[in-house]
Amino acid sequence: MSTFDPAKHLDAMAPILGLSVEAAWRPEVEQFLTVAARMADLLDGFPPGEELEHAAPVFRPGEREA
Amino acid sequence: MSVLPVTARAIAAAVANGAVSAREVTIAALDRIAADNDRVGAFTDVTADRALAQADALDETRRRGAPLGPLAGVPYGVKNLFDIAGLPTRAGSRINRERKPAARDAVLIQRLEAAGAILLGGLNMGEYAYDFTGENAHDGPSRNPRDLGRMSGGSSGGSAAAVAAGFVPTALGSDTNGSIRVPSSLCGIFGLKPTYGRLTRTGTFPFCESLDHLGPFATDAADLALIYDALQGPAAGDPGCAGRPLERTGTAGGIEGLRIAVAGGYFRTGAQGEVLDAVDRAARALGASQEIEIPEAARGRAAAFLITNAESSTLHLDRLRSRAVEFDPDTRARFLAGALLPAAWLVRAQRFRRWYHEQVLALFDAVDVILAPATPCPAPLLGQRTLRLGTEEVPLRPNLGLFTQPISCIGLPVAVAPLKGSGGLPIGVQIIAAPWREDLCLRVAAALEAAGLARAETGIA
Repeated sequence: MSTFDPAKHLDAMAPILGLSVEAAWRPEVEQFLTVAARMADLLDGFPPGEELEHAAPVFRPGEREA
Repeated sequence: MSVLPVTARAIAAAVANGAVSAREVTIAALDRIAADNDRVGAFTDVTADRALAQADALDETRRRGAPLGPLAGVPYGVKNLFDIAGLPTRAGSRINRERKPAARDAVLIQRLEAAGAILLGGLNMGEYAYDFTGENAHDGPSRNPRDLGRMSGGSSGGSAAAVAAGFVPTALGSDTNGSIRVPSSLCGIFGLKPTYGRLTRTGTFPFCESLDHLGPFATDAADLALIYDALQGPAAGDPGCAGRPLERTGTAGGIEGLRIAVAGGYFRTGAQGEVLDAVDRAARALGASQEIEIPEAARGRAAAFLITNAESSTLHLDRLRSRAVEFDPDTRARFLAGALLPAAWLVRAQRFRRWYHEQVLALFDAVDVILAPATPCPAPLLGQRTLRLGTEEVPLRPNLGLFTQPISCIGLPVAVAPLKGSGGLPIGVQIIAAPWREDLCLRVAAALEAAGLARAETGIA
């Protein structure tokens, strides 16, 4: 978290995704990036342990939606 | 009939026994909307011709002596992210108004119509449902009927406002992180967010499919149960729908033998005093003396925040690339930020969600129902940007969902029952149960009503 710089992140990522962020919008976008970084930091290394490596959204081959 | 009935049950009974016609009920509701909707900002589209045609057909069915459905003649509205045949599904946005009109109604509208209910139109909402306030830059805010200078809450703000204003006895909304429960609390009505996967979302515009739920609002618990039962059942077209058969609820059965606890820790921190007082009054009335800790609720909220932010922004990525200027400024910044999140953050949130689900499910070995506040405060003033949580002044928009977000993160069913706060405004209590036990949420909500604690006020103050 301490190394996360929302302005640098925005400058690096926005062009890759084809997004134009107007100057007037930047303070709020950076604020929300900072909030998201704080949330991600809360989850970093949690829960501890290796047993959750499988815990991603589940995909069941052969199952049709409708 | 000189005075029209208020609840959905009473309307359906009066229509069924001929005391009033469906047309009379429909015209009365349309008149209320015509007189006061400009002040409240609840309806964005009124489908009067369709409603009157349906009412006439229902009255004709009765004249023929054919059976009527359990919601015969009950007027209602839907959040404008539900497809309504013939209208573009705007989902609170400007951009979506260019969509082709929907070819057919959302499945839940079809179900209410099959039960005899009469759709009066689409209801205001925060843009693309990314909202807890009920404010909308394109359509204006939905206002709180208890005090028109205050927020309705969101994002299903128009749905709650329409019921609280007395326009309709029931409405449908959606809840991803709190969008049924927050406006239920602020407007002082009953709301139900069922278990994730219970009600089909086919024919609605998504926000974040990993977390999106649909559900009803009503003026009492018995109506909520009646309408919810009419909405249940499997349907094609929604991979998130669990396809469970109808499990009828109702509010009979009482609470005897139910183990009811109050959520402590996280859920006792930050809320204003009158909010905790409302939860405590509810607990006393229910004989709930046990306090339990929902483990890692703050991290549950963080996971829901990240999943919502990343997934919803990906849904809108093309629109953000080409038409960002047309977004509501209050959602645009959040969507743009969400589009830029590192993948590792999202995966981390998904992993945590699985673990958190397991931990919270274990609580239900020892308790049946958990009480928690629905919002940290009663309705804020329109335009308010910050909120006091304990000693801290925090941004209002994300924090209205402080207590709802950790619960919907893992899809638990929740009813909100409205109490009167000590300051005069309503405040909601969340009644939380294990997955698929909506019946318990509804029974406890009915018990709070029977104890004289929970009550919805309708009309415009």
